[in-house]
Amino acid sequence: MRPLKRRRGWARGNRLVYALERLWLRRPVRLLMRVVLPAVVAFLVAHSWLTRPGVLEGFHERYLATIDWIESRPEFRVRQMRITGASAELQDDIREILGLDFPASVLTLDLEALKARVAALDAVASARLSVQEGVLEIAVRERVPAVVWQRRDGFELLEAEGHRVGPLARRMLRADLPLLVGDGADRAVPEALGLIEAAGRLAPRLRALIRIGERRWDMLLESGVRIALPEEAPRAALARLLVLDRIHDLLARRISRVDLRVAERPVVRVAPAALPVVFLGMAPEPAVMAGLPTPAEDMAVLAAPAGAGAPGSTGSGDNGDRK
Amino acid sequence: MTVSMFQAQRAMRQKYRQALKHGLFAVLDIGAWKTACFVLRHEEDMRADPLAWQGNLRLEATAVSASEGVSRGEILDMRRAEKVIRTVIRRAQKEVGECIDHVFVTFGGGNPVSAITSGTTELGGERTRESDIADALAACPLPDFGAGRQLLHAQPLHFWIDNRTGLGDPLGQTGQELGVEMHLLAVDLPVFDGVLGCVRNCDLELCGLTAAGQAAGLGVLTEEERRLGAAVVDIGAGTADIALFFRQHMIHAASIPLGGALVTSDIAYAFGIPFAEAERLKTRFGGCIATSRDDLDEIPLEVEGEWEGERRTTTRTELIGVIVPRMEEILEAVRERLEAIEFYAMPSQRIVLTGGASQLPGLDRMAARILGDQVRLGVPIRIARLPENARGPEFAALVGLVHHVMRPSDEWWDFEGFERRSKGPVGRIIHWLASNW
Repeated sequence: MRPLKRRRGWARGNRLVYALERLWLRRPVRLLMRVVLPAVVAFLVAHSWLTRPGVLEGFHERYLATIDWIESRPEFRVRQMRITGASAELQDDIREILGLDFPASVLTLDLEALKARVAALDAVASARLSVQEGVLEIAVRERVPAVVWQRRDGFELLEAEGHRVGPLARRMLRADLPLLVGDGADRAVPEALGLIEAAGRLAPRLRALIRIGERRWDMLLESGVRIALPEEAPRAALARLLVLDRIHDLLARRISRVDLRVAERPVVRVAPAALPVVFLGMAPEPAVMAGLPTPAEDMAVLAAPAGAGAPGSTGSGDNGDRK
Repeated sequence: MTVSMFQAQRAMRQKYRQALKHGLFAVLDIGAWKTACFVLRHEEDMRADPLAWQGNLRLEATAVSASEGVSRGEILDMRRAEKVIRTVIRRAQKEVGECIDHVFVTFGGGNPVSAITSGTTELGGERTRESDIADALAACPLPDFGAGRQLLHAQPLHFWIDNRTGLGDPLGQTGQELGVEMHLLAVDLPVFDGVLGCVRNCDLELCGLTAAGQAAGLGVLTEEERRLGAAVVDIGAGTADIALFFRQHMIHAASIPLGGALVTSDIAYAFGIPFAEAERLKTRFGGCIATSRDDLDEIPLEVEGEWEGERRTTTRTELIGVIVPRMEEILEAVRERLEAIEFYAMPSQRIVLTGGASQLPGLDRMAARILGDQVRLGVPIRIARLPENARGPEFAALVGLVHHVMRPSDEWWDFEGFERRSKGPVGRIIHWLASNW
């Protein structure tokens, strides 16, 4: 007969407890209970709370306020900007291009980007930016204009390496700098400067260096004489011209053009007597005009050192160069 | 004996493979006094520390609990027996931290009946194939074990081809006729079903059942003893299991429903004390041979319901006087059984006593008097990581079961063939479908 009160042995083997214990020992079950379930519950709670109106916006506002508070700390504040090594014009340019409002915070200033913007200015060779005790220091090395470049639409100042420094309204504002003309002249500025240096006593009489076909130079003198230099070794050709000039006083004669492109055969075009230098857009100087030799004399002079120099050969070489 | 029985054994083999694949399983000894469990881990490649491994097995945990509802190898109260199994499994699980799904079980008793049978098949000069072995096994006539019996073991002992005998593995040998001798062991079906039901009710998969005698033999006997021939007697609380080994195989098994629990109840009756107290006296003061000194040892008896101040005492001589007749009875029964199977005609008459009751002091001398000269007490062969408290003879069967799991014996059902004989081609297709889906 079944006893009314179940006799309990000491063995504790409740089937439900046993089954639950075994279930708990299964790895997927444990993973489910320990990781998946808490994650789901946490997600649901967070989701239901965050989707209530105003909660996320509140977070955002508080975040912005905190950021603002940190940035406006005096330790991080930049009160002013100091620019060194730049002309007044350039300083204005830099201030304009940076467009900073002071006081600003160090944390919001992107020095690298600012530096890039300053360095992007043509007149700036290099810039160093730093913030020291609330002052934004901008140390600028300015580009020094070396030549004036005449383009179709105006004048520009170029550095010795050919880099653009800035526009120039009128030539006479920088009369001290030599003038370069022609497309591609900016890419050959060092060569041009070299030529000017090599021109020696011609240099003060130099009106302009004209880049022809983006490959060689023509040298235009105040007197209206145009000296066509070869593409290769123009300095040597110029030196030769200087020797010619010293021996024969060539440039003082009434010529319009000296063609040095073929080294062994320099060619001189004699200025037509009926058409004085006015043709080249230059005020005729009576003193020079008076002493000019006749074209026939010129030809005789030049024929001797160049060997078999023929007067007819001058025209053929000129046509291609003149633009 | 039916096809369904074969399928049950095959299913157990399948689960055995599953258990090894799963990697963690338990071996369980359901005894009358204690239920013990070892948790083993199986890995194909032993890592790091080979000393911690026994073969490919590693002992992970042990758990022991007193048994309830089991008596003389029979499960009397399934619910309580299940509770005990659950308790043990829970303890083991707690120690390992993983869920145990597969168990191997050994149990004593069940009234085992052992028989040897043989069968032959024609080879016709061909090489022996596995199917020939299966045919030979299938040709073995089944002795009549009677109704309500379940075959527990059916192990091929040795093969012969024509006049060459004693072949362990005849595969590839040529000859005219292949013969096999097989040892069959059957137990009572209710006992078998009881164990099966208990394990199933604990949500465990039964991967193998081993008779306690076989397990104890593997746990206690040395390899030499098993080869030369020896009998192991595992005297537990409820049963004394005998297994006879010869040439590495168990050739006979028997069980006597007498054990240490009877000694305890004798003491309880003799002195009118509770069972637990009697057990304490037996283990603390018990023995098999009295000496003159024992008269002087006064043993206080704790009696339930007795008044304070009124204490009874007894002497050790009296205690031994109660124990000796019962132990003699058990050993006499063992001797009777051994004589019945003509053990004493065997070349080696080595007897190894093990099991919890073999710990009684002086039992070896008493056994030598009754069973013969070559008696020794056996403790289980050590396996790696076996804790100190599980090294006693009461764990012989469990340790042996570990060995048996590690190197399972060939059984009849490991060879295809039985169904092949009993069914036509259509039946075989159906069988294949049924066993694979």
